[in-house]
Amino acid sequence: MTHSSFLQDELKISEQLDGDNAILKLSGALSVTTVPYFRQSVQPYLERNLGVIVLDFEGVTKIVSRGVGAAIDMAVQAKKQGTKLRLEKIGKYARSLYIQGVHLVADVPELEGFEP
Amino acid sequence: MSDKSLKLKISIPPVEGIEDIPILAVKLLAQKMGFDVNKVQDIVQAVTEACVNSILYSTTDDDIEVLVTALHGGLVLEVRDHGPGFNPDEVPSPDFDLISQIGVKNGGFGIHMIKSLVDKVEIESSATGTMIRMSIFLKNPDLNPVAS
Repeated sequence: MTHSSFLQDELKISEQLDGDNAILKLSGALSVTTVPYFRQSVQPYLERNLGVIVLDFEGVTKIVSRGVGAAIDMAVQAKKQGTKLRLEKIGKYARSLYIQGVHLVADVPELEGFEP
Repeated sequence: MSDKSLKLKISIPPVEGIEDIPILAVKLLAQKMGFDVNKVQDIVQAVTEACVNSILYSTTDDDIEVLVTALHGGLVLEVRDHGPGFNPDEVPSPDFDLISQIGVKNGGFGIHMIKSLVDKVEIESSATGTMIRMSIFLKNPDLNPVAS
């Protein structure tokens, strides 16, 4: 695999703090390239023992299974610390998230008719 | 103009991000064939996983081929790479009890996702490369403008 600067996926994460809740808005691709940044960016919030961490998926343009896996890892870590990880505005990515079992560890909007 | 199946072949180098090109082509074709919006997203997600895996595990600069065949009854997508290959029978199904306790840690589970998103998956893999063929059938093929 090689890299090309103009093809490189990008992910931006903006934060909004509200008491002991954090809303992290994702904008861009949750791809192999950006997953390390995704993990690094969310980790400090996981270590702050917040009440709820919201990952807002409204601005996500692409998702790969590794990205979903990272969200699962975050939810597992959060749960151990008594923090809730909630995924919001997952839209068209709902089935991909459910297929990987995100709903088993994180709060996600209900997906009608999902059969594993 | 032929009324037989429609075939597309897109060759891409193993470069991160280039997969967006065949993905977009497949998405447009699936929309034109009359797949509903949810199925189109399933197809997009499956071909994304297949292309990303091929790019990720490529060990040479050889192109990856994405072959798309639009048939009266559905769509067949093949992604062929020249990577080192793997044994599809040794790819375990995800253990959701374990994942719920310790997480995923490394890698995703692309093959599991692909199998869950499309109607049929065939994988041929050897030391010289891997071919993954994904078939998606139309619920009402008589509405399909392709090859009707």
